[in-house]
Amino acid sequence: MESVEYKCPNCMADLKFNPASQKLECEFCLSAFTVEEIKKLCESTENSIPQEAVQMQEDFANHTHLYRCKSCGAEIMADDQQTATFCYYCHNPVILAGKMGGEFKPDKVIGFKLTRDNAIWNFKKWISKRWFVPKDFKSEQQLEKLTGLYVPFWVADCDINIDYHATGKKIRSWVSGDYRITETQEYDVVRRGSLTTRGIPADGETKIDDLLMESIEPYDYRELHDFSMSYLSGFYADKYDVDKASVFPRIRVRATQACASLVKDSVNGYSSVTPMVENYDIRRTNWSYMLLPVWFMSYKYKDKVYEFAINGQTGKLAGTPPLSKGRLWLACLGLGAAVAAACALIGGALF
Amino acid sequence: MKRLVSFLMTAILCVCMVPLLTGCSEPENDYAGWNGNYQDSVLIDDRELFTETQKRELDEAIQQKSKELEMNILIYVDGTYRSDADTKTFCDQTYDNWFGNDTDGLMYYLDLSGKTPAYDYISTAGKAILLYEENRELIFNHMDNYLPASGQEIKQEQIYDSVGEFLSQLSVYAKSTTSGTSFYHDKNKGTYIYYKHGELYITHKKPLIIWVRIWVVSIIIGLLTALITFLVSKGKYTFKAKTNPSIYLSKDAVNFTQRNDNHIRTYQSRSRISSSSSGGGHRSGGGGHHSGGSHGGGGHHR
Repeated sequence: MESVEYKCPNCMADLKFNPASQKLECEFCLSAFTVEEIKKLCESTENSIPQEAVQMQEDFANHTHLYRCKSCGAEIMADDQQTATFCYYCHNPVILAGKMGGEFKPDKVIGFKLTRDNAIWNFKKWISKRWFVPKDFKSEQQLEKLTGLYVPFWVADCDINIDYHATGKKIRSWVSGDYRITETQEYDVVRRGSLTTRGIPADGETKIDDLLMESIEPYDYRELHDFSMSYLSGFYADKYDVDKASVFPRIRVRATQACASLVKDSVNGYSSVTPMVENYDIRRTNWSYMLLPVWFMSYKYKDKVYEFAINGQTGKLAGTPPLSKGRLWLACLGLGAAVAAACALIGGALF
Repeated sequence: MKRLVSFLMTAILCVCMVPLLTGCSEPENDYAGWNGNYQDSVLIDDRELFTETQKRELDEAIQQKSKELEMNILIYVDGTYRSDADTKTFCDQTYDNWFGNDTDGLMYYLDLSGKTPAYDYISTAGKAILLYEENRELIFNHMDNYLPASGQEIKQEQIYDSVGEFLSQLSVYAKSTTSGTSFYHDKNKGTYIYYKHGELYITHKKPLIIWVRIWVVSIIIGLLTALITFLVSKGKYTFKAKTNPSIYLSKDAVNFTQRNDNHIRTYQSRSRISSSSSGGGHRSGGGGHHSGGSHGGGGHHR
């Protein structure tokens, strides 16, 4: 299968995308190139990518593919999801161009803006507030596992029709003589119209927890670029294995939630509101397929795998911190003992 | 982890040290006991109610009881009007003046001044505090059967019999207890009266049972604090809520074709306000200045 490596036009060393400068840089001669420049220079290479990638039946069965590293000639094995990886032997970044063809070619990409050091700093800051994580969770060895990955996302713009009908009640009461008078005013509340949600993302990969991905949103779509494989250099990248139809229910739920929230905000001033009709119909959806940057890390503790994700653009972090219950119990019992001693001293003084 | 263990060990050490510093050292003891002079135990007839013979008989009975119970007994038949508070002070001071501070004994004050209601009083000291303090009201109630009610005519024979009955009541409740769990706290003097290793103490140091109670409550509070802290902290180690999808709403693309809030109807309901009031009483107690020994005791309106 075809693979692409971006070589420095000056010294032919490998180029890596630097999130800080948003350029492809050569570590040897320190040259730097914008994505546009490299696209022009490597036009022939990118254009050579076949539109319809032909994948062998036996490879599908095994879910693995073999690639040849153009730097050292080693054969690299990758699963059928990976589109960018590293050579195991010379650690050169390798983009598995054949997998980015045809339907798997993303429309857009947001390049990594957060460097590895920034991601580690964010993670350390986040974990510094959690005192009772296992000790080795904060180790350098653990931080080494932080991996930059382009995650395939389906992003949808939805046009939605609103049909909302409810009864609103305004209640006021006052005292007159020996009686409390309660006055109830009933209103017929109607909201009809249309609205649009823009850019609701849903990851198109089964291996990644959907909730984890939703937690590191949002991405700033103003930094979207037309897809170029040069963005992938130096990072891992996957292609989708969940199609549009499969992610649509998730998109629909989130679009409906957004819509219901907007309608609810528009119905105000009532003591209580009882909806009778609440329909939000998605009449049109525009889809984009894009790669979004995520720093990933996983940690295994007591037979449970904890996953963490950092938005590669904004630095927003999400994940479930592992809890060392032993450490927490020790601290709590220490605190309890101190409180008991203080209570005893106060009690001794009072009684 | 090392810091946590150090913190925990220090806290436990503090917990262990506090009772050592506060409760377990030998307390100073003001207890004077009974000097064996049962002849000091007498009846004082301030109202001059009894004849010489009757008084001598009663004195003998009192001294016999004093010898039997190994404590001082003073019975005071008073005809002078005193307020309830003055009665307490008078009884405590009279006892101390007669027998000395912190000795074993009691004084029974019979109010025959004609005050309505009459206010009898029992002032206890030393071991008599632990013997009679809990049963004082029972003794008073029993004596109500023998003494004339307030405002009624006072008969000499009736009072004579009452003194005898009071002495017999002292024997009924004179079951000596040296249990370490019972104690009495004289709030006026700030002293505690309790048995420790079979010996009576009148001291400012708290008995062990108070420390045990304080520690049991403190440990429960400490454990609850630990449990609540554990649960609250554990709650922070969970997955945070996902992003609110409202951020994807395109505000400029919201178009309400119909946005009506039409009034349908108005109706009123009324309910009677139930007014209720409740009253309550309160109990209060107090004490006055005290310079003598530690006393138990209390009065009873007849």
